[in-house]
Amino acid sequence: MIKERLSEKKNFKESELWFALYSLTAALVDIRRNGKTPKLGDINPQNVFVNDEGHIRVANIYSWPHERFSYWKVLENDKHENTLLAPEDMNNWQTNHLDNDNNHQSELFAIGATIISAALLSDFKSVYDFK
Amino acid sequence: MGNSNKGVKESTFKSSNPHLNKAKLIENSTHDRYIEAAFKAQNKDYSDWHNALKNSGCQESNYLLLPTKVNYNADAGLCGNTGTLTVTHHLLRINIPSSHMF
Repeated sequence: MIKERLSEKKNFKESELWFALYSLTAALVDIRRNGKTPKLGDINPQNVFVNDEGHIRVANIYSWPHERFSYWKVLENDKHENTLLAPEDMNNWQTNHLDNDNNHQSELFAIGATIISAALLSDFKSVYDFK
Repeated sequence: MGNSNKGVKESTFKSSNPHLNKAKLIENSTHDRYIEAAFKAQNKDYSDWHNALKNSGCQESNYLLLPTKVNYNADAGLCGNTGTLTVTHHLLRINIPSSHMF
């Protein structure tokens, strides 16, 4: 949808961005409440879809076979995979200082980055220096 | 849903999500639309994923994109431990939601 909006030069309205923020947060609450995994969803613009009713749906780890958490993609150094881990979390994982209690940092970072991407109609990596 | 139904239309589906690279868009006779993606999978991988999906407790979520239908066909052969997994998700809107929804 970001690409569509970009091609039409039609920015998301503030109300749409608030709706997306609410929906993404609600998706994580759903996983946190019902899921058995300590890690939550892998939010990024590629995993956010809109259904027939205009409601946002997140494709998380359960949506596809062979899906891997961002943490594993980072550990496997798969640079082709899009991940939006918080910089300090990514650094911790790359240096094997694992801290499972702080996974929510990356989830919140990913939600914010996704909303910023939608607001700017731009890839988050083009506006944020991860180094 | 399903390719053999009369009146089913198939078209290609473009998405930046890598899992949807070869997905098809299916529209049935009642104009319901679905995304169908097929994967090669090991028996064990499929079984693990399916169990995780069932045990996730998230099936009724209004906010997650979870499969509405999963079909696994094992490859023929004496020692076959692979197969083709077809995953169907209820359709997503491709066009832009109208403003009255917000």
